[in-house]
Amino acid sequence: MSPAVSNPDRRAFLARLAKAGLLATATGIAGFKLYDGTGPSPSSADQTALTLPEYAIDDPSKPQRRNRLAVVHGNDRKQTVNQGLKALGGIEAFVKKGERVLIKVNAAFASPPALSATTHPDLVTELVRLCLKAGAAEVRVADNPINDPATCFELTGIGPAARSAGARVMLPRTASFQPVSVSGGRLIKNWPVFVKPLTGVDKVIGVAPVKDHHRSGASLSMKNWYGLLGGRRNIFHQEIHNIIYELALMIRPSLVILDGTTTMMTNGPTGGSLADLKQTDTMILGTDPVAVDTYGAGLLEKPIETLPHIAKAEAAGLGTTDLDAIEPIISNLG
Amino acid sequence: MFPAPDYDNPTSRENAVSATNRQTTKKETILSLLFLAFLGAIFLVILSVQSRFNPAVENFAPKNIGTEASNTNEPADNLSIPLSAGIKTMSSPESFTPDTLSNKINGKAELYLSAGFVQLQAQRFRPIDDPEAWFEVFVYDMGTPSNAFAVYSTQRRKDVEKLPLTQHAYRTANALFFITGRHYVEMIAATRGEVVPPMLIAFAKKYLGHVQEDGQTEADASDPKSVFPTEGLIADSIALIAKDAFGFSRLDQVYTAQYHGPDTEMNLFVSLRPSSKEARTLAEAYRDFLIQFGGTEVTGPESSPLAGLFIIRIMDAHELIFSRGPYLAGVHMADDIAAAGKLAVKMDRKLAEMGIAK
Amino acid sequence: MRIITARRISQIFFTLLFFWFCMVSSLGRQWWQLRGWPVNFFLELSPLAGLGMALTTGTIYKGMAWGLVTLGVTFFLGRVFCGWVCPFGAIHHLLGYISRIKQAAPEKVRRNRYHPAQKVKYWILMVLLGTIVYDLARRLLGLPPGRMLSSLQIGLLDPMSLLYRSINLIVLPLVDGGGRWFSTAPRWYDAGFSIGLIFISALLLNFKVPRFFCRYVCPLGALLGILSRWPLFRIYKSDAACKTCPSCERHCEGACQPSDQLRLSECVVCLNCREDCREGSIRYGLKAPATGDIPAPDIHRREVILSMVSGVAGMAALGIEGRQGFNWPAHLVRPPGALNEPNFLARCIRCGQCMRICPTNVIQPAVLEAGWEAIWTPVLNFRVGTSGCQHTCIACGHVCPTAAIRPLTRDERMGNGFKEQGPIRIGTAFVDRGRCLPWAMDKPCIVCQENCPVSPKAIFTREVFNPVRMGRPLTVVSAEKDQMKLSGTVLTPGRYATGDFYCRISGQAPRQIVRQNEQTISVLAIYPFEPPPRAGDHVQILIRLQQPIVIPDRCIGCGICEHECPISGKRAIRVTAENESRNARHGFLLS
Repeated sequence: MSPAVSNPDRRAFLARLAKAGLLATATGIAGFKLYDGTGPSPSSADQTALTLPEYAIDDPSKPQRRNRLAVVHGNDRKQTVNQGLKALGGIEAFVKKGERVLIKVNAAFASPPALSATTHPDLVTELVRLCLKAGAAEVRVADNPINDPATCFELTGIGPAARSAGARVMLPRTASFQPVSVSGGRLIKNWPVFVKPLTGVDKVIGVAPVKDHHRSGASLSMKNWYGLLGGRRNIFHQEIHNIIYELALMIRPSLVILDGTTTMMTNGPTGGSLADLKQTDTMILGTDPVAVDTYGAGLLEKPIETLPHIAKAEAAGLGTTDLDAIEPIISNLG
Repeated sequence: MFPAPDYDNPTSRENAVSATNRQTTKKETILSLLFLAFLGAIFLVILSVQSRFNPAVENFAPKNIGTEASNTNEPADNLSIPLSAGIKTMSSPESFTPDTLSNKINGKAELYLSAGFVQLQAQRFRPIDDPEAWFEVFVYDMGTPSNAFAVYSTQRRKDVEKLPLTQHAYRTANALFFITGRHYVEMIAATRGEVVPPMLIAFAKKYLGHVQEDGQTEADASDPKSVFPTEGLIADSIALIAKDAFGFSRLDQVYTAQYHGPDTEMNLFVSLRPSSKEARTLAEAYRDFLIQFGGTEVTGPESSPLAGLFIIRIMDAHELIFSRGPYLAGVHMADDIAAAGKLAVKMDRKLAEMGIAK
Repeated sequence: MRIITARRISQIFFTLLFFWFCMVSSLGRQWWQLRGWPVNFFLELSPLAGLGMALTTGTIYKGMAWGLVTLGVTFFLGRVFCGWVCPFGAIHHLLGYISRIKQAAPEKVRRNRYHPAQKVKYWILMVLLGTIVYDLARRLLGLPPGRMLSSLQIGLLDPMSLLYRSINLIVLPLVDGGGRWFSTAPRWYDAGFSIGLIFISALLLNFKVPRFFCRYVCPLGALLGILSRWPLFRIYKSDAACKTCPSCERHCEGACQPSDQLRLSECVVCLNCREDCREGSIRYGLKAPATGDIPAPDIHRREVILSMVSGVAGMAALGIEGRQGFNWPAHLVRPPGALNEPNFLARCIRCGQCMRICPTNVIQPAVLEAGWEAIWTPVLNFRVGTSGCQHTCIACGHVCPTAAIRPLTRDERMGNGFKEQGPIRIGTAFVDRGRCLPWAMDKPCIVCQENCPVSPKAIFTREVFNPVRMGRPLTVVSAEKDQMKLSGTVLTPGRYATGDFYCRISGQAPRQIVRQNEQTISVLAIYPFEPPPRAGDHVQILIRLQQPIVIPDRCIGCGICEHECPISGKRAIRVTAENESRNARHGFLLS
């Protein structure tokens, strides 16, 4: 090498030294920050699970005579639901001005309304209208159906009914689900739940038809929340009564409406023939899902003992099966 | 600037001249050697790292497969007993399988082999300050606590002192014998003396503290013992014959106990079979076996203090055989037929009290 | 000593060290076995794998930090790794040397001339980085997972992964014959052809162009090339004496034009040019070159973007196939301790170490069964090898350099003290009742149940007695005690006396047949017919079968049952990945 390093050389050298040094330092810092000496942990849960807020307007474990259960006999859904709501204090008791409401329907199957396997569109129309009349800022209608979602909402008539009444129909998409855990639950742990329709909502109203069910015995208001589960939810059929009970723990609704106008007596939950149905002309509304389901079981002529999930829910303080004690308000509309 | 190198017409000189006329500088040599030293250092570091075994290797081929309660049933290959204070090993541990057992204990091997012997580990120890007072420890792995009880009970010396060491333990002047889990342990000292028993007992206690029992307690092994009537039972006389009891190959797992008789002791035996039918069948088969070897059946009024009791006279003694439920029982080689009959009845009554139906 | 000599010694040292690490990679305590040899050293030295992993996981795991040392050295000294350390490079160097033994200097120079195709390796690097750029963006910007596949593809062409894979899975088993030195049994590996083809092609192409792989393909070389823009020390031409001969390029390994403007990104610091220059004009030092140099590789921004976009597009296209969701491949049984699939693919560099160390040879490189994104990742094939996945073994996780397979303790593997999770499950065995001997073919067999290693066993058997078809029905002619004379079909002597056959007469439980001739049957003497059969009674011969049934709560998917099943083609009991511990969504059990 030549003995003397000339000035431009030295400048260039120092520039290179600086750049190389900077690169090395930056890499070193990045390496230090990113260094992981322990490795990945066994649990593969990517997100922490949510718990859902409470939507109940009163506490069913406290004995309350009024605003608990209303039963209306009649064959016109619009009339019976209005009468029932009046008995419970009117829609204003449930929906306040500016609130967002979710109406959780049963749109599980791509089945026409006449077969009574899904929530009736007339009921949807009337409820949406009432909520908007009470001043709701937004009414959402949603469900995670078993068959293809778009087809289900169309063929059941629920989609067109909801939209024409001014509600927003929310179909399930991949991003609509997030892992949820139920405190006190064993089965719903980090399980994907259809939370998008619930986000930002103040009141939740469950609306379901009264149906026989081959696996669980009956599909009533508590079973209706199955439609919020995502993932491979059929796995829970191995412990059907426990999952229904945990669903009741997961969602404490503001109001449930059991439509017993046309009850599916056999071949549930899909039914498929008018011969499966019986005209029972009863609309059941209440804030106590256990009591509502108890009444619904009566329409199906099934003893409560054959539906263990109801007893489990009662034991957990979610309601009562003692219909006499809560004094339902019963009306008849011809 | 310089013209670009002419690749197509390189100077032809390089073929003729040697590779380089550049001198290797001292600096170059130093740098090269320094670098080689650096490589050497890497090599040494790697050599030192390789002695810290990968956990997968530790798991695959652990150093001590012996004393930990491992999930496999591999026998230990060394007797890793912690030494009590003042004791050191005197020989290396020896290990014997069913094939090599007789090399160590000769004719006695048959007893162990017929009782389900798995492995023997033996080692000699001695006090640090007294080389003469050495002792040898034999740990027989018998496979099950029941088998251990069999070899323990059939070898139990008479008139020995019970040891409060384990549920089944006794000592003689110069030795300890006990069962722990499925192991039958003998600690035999070469000499007698004042110091021997306490030393052995201390050693045994240390050993027991170190050994981890497998799930079964000894109580499980001796459950069938509870059917023996207590009246007249000679203490600590219950033994278990694992196989070929009384010379009959189909009689296995037979518990025997000594009872006080009018003149001599009587041997009561009982064995739990899988079912009532099998107990009855076995009783008949044993009777037939004895008849085959020259026995004669005794019938008549004196022979029936008990329904279904067989009495065979063979070789100047009487064998009483009966069954109740899944239990086969009887009296072995009794002189006094009446006393034996009474004992058999007592046994039958005890079984009935325990709820065993005929 | 010349510096060239030091370099050669260095290459030999590291190459021999590499081969040593490959040879000792089998479980054992002896000095020629795994012990504590740092067998992953070369994988860890490669900063490409480390960089890839840092981008997909945001971490640099343990030993992968060695890559920072390589980077540091490269920043200051240039691509010394390529010329002095890389064993793959050394092999190419050697083969390139052999390929020019009889060549004249002009020919040698011509083969070492810079070729524009040398930029292909930068495209390859950009494509590989493109496959993870979406992942990185997602993590930095908080975008949702969406349908983009997350997967680290760098291992496909990273030279260290490639070399480990090729030597461990192809060369060593072939050299070792029937498992004489490097393992206890002959080793077999699926995907042998694809791995071997790439390896042999890379080696043989050296005869076309020396260091073909290094110059045209190696993404690690490309990465180091990009990063050696400002090395302190580099090859430079001091102006005075240069005769432009270009003798310096006779043995130039990197094809980097030292005689003209040195391409810094291609120079592998082999120092051959310095050695060859008669005038002493080529130096390695701190000074600037007289004729200037080209610090950056000859790629344009457009090429970079296009390459990355193709990487992204490839991942998008693969993501549509839905293998991360409902379309997950059922037969993809991964080693115990493997992370769930997206996290696994974000870490696996396909080095093959797990396949090498597995004592039963069941871990195999996947071909396409796990999708294009998972080529050469580990998959268990229970038909290959000496046994299933030993349920006390934890080897694979402890040699995985990136923790794509987590290092487990034995306790965690077996579930000791892990009451809630239980033992690690890699799948579940399913009995194929249409193929299983006792279910479908009336032949006794319970090999699967016998070999099930867990306690209590995960397979139980149900006893059934099935009638054996007879041409003409058997009727009793005479009978005494335990023997019967029969009329009807003439029986093959001994055929029904194997211990598995029973005979039955109406009204009584079946009796085991102990002896049997053409027309006589004897049953077990201690359990004869009671009362004895009468003449004219019909006798039915039954075969006693024990039909295996899997208990899914206990099955850990170890595959020993599948391995031992005597139906050796498509096994009558097969393990698929349902209920694997690493992904709760693949389970079908509630607890």
